[in-house]
Amino acid sequence: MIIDFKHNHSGHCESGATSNLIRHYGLEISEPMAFGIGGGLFFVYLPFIKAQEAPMFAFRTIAGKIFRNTTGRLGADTVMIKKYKDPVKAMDELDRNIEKGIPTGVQVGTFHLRYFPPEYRLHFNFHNVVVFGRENGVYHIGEPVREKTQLLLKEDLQKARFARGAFGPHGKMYYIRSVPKNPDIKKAIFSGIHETIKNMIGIPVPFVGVRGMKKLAKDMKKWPAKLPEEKARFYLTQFVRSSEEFGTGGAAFRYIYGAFLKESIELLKNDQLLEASNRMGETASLWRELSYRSARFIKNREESHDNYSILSEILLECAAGEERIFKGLAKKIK
Amino acid sequence: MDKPFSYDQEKAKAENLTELLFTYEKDGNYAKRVGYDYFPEGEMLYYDVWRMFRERFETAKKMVLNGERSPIWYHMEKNLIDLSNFAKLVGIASWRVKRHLNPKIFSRLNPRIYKKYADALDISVEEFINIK
Repeated sequence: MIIDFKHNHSGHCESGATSNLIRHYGLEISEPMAFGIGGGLFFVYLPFIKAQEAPMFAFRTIAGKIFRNTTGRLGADTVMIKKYKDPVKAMDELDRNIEKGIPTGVQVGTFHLRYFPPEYRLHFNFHNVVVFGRENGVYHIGEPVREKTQLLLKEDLQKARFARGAFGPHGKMYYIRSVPKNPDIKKAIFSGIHETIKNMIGIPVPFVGVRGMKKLAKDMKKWPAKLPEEKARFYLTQFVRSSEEFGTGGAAFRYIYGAFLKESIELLKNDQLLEASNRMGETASLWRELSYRSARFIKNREESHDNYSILSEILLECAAGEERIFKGLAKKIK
Repeated sequence: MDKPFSYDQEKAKAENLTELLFTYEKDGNYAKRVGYDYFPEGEMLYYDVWRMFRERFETAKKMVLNGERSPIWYHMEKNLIDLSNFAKLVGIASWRVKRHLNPKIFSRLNPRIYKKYADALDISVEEFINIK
C-alpha cells in the first residue's frame, strides 16, 4: 500500500520530515516554521569531547526535539516510540502504520541508505526520513533532503533503523494521530522563539549559545600556537564540516531561522520581528563567509597564523550579531 | 590532486542529487535555491574539505600497504569514524580494536573476528582485508 503523501524537498532532515508530516494532516506548516516553532537553532562547542580527534561542534538542538516541540506547541496528538528491542517487531509496527494509512517518521543511520552516493554514506545516526508506502518488501521513503521520493529494500531499512555505533536510533519512530484545525499559531511561534532565546543567551555556561561562539573564537586564535600545524588545520576542517555538512550546517540553519522570522511577520501581521529577521540574514551570510574562507584556507594551505585570527574575528562578529538579535527579541517578545 | 567527486549540476539533477538551500537575498527576502550555484566562483565549498579527508585516507592507505598499520585503520579513516565510535559500531572493546591496529596481531586473528568487522562495515571479508 502506498499512502497519498505529498513530499516536499527540504533543507534539513528533521524539520523537513516534521513539516511534511504535519502538512499531510492539512495544516500548512512550512519547513522554516517547523524549525522555528520547534526551537531548532542552537550552538554548542565542547572542546573536551572529541569526535574524530577534534572538538565537537553542534549547530542545532538534539535530534527528536524539533518534532516533539513543534507538534506539542501546535497541540497535535502524536506518538513517539523511542526504543525497540526487537527489530522484527519494530518493522511490523511500521508496516501496520502504513496499512492504516499513517505516514511514519523514522530515525535512521545514513550508512545503510543505499540511494545516497557512497561518499554520503557515513556512520551518521541522526538522520530522519518519512516512510509512506510498501510494496513487495520495497519501502517508499520521503527523503527530506532529496527532491524526489526514494525506494529502499526492507533489509536495508531495518539495518538503518537499527544502525549501531554512537547514539544509535534503536528503531525510533514517530507519527501524528491528529492535528487541530485552528491552532493558536501566535502562541506556538512565541514559545518557540522564547526557547531559542533561552538557549542562545540564557544559559550561563561558556560552551553553549553565544557564549560558546565567543569561547570558540578565543580558542581558534590559539590553535596555531598550541597545536601542530596539521592538527590545527584538521580542527578547522572539522569545524567547516560540521558547519556546512550536506548544506544544512551552521549558516544554513541561520538562514532557515531568518526565513521563519520573516514568515512569522507575514502570518501574525506583526512588525516587531522585522529587524531580527533582517539581522539574522546578515549574520547567516557572515557565517557562510566564515565557512567559505576557512575552506579556502584549508585548500590553499597558506602558511600564515593570521588566518586563524581573521576567522576568529569573523566568528566574534557572528556572535555579536546573534547576541544583539536575541537580546532585541527578548525585549520585544514578552 | 583532482577533485575527488566531480560535481556536475546537470548530472546531479539527473541523478536526483540536488540539495535545497535557504538564502538571504539582497532585497531582504529569503529564497530557496536548489543546488550549489550559490557559492562564489561556482565552486562547491565541500570539495575543499572532502579533499582534506581524501588525503587523510590516502595516507592511511599508504601506511597499511607499508605494513605500519592494519587495514582497520584504513577503513576507519575512510568512514570518518574514530576509534571509540568504531569499537561501538563493531561491538568489540576499544582496547582490542586498538590492538588489532597492529598488522602482526591483525594477521593472526580468528576469521570470525574478520567477519564481525566486515559485517559492521557492510562489505565482504575479502574487501575488508585486501584494500585496493
